[in-house]
Amino acid sequence: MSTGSRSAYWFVAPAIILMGLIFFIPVLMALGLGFTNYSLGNSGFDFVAFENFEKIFTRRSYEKMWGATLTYVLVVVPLSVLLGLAAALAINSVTRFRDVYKTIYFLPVMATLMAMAIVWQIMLHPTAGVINRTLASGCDVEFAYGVLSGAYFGFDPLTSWYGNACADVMPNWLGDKKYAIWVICFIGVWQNFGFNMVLYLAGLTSVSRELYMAAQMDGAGSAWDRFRLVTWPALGPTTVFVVTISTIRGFQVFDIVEAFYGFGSAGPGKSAYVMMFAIFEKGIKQNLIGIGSAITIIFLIFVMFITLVQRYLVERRVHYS
Amino acid sequence: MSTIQLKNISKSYATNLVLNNVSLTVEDREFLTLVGPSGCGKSTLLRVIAGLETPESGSVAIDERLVTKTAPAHRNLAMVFQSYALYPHLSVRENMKTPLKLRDLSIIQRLPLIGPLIAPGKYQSLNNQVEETAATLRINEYLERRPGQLSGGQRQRAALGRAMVRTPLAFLMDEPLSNLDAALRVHMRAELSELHRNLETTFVYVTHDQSEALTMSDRVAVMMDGTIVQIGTPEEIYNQPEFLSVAEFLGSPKINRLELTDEVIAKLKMPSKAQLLKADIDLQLIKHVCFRPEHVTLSNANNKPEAVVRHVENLGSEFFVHAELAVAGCRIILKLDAPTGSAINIGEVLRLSINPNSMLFFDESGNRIRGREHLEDAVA
Repeated sequence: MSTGSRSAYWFVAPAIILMGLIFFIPVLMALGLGFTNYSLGNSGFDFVAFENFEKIFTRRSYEKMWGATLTYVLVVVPLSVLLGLAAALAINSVTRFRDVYKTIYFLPVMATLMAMAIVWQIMLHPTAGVINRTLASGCDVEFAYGVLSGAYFGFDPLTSWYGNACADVMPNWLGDKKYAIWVICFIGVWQNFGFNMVLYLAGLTSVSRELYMAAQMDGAGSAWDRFRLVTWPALGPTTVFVVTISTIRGFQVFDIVEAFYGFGSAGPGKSAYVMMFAIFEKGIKQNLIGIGSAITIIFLIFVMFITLVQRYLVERRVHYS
Repeated sequence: MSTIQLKNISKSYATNLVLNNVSLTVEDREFLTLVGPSGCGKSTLLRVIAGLETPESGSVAIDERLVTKTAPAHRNLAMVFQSYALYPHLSVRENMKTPLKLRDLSIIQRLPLIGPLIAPGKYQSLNNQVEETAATLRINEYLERRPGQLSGGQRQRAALGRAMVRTPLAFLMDEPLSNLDAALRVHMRAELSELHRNLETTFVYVTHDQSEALTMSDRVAVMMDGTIVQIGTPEEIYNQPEFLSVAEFLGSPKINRLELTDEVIAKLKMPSKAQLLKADIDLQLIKHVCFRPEHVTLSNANNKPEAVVRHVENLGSEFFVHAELAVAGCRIILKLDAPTGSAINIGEVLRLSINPNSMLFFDESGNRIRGREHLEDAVA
């Protein structure tokens, strides 16, 4: 080995050591612990092979985790991406008050979730909340009731959701396991689409004006034709990035559940028992480091997979040069 | 037949008047160039013809059909852009097919996968049209490539192909050569002119490059500050500019300009007072006298004005000599052939002779002052 190449190692050493300390070693430790039944404070532990992973994929309690996590990801990712794109296109097309709209849509991203959770809790309160009171007041307005319950269209109002709610009680949004995960999803969309909008707005600035003109000359008369021909392909790289980051953030969701249901609960009947919450509950609260590590490893595999797909798309498909 | 008629076009952005009452007729099969410094409104005028900009007042007619309010897609014009504006995600073939698809196919027929199954015949004919055009432009080899994989010149051809493929009534070109390197630009100039002759279609060409305007056009329209100041053949524009601004804009190197004072006339003796009077030019009105660098020659006569050489540019086939005229106290440029030019050293004192026939006179506001007859005739 020559002196030159040896000094090279000295230069990269600080970065390598740091990355090892804060990244590689913890990941490898989690991987190792995932195959054990280790608990913090125990002097020893046993190697349990794939028992932890088997539990995660077979036990009923983890079924809830998969259900909640996948529901959240599959609802929040498409909706927040589409809404982000729609908001960006809308803002891009107006000439006045752009900054005002941007601020309004971006506010949920910036706002402290804990504070926002309290506001939402008040709004979603089953009896005193503004949402249910608005819904309830609609029951007495003939037109609103007729349209919303389907009575105007010849349906039996009691077979409809709204008709039932009027006849019985308004839903307990946060306390009913029928609604809890959907409310969490709604909050997730509300909180995230502003971020996607900003990314799309940045993407839109890179679309050449001459391309729109060329499309017009070529006969793309309608806005939809121009969107298909120019905007959407130009936003390809942005879309891949937005979908990737939204999906990873979707799998990472924890704060919303924690903010709404407080320390230790994952919603009524564990209906909002998302993956991060499971890691927290198993690994920290119940001190089952082994199984917590196993979930963490599965989570990491998801993220790695999504990242690899993104890299492939970015390199092969959506960059046209 | 495709003439383009613009009448009294005005357009402004906010408070800035970009086009001020412009009228212009482009004849059938003509190569007309709009030339002017940047910001003069030439691109805006082209976009008004294309329908990409709506004028505040005035009318646009193509083949005597009023199209002022018609969408660009329905004017049947093609445009080539400075950035080429090729769709980056589509191959050259698909780029060229796009205008045909949008014109000839219904929405359902345009659907991917399903479209070609519903209307295979139509797709076949579109493909044939693309192949034909590609053959004319010699771009068949890279039809399957994306614009990102092409060189500047190849992109230029692909953009031309997309414009040509649907045989439009006229071609509109917005500085199409300015993104190419110098050698290729000169080459494409010739190719575009040839293309124009072969296609026998009207071309409206926008450029800020006066050499492109002079070399390619049948007629040149010089634009300044939102109006067309002069329109004519390249020869007319170059030799008989109506305004000082036109004279200074066209020609490289720039036309020489002297401010005409009594002292200059007295010492330069060209043109002489007598000459001017005979030509019936009012000396009082003349503010500037201009002459092209190629109209200055070296002289041995003692009574000719002196100039000190300050800088020599060797262009290989010719030399540009920058010299300071002692009397007028300003620099002029001479264009000399290589043998003459190579013998000249910096600091040398030259005696110059300026062809009086080639002199152009302008008044204080830059308007041309013409004599009743040529100066030479006046002398004789």
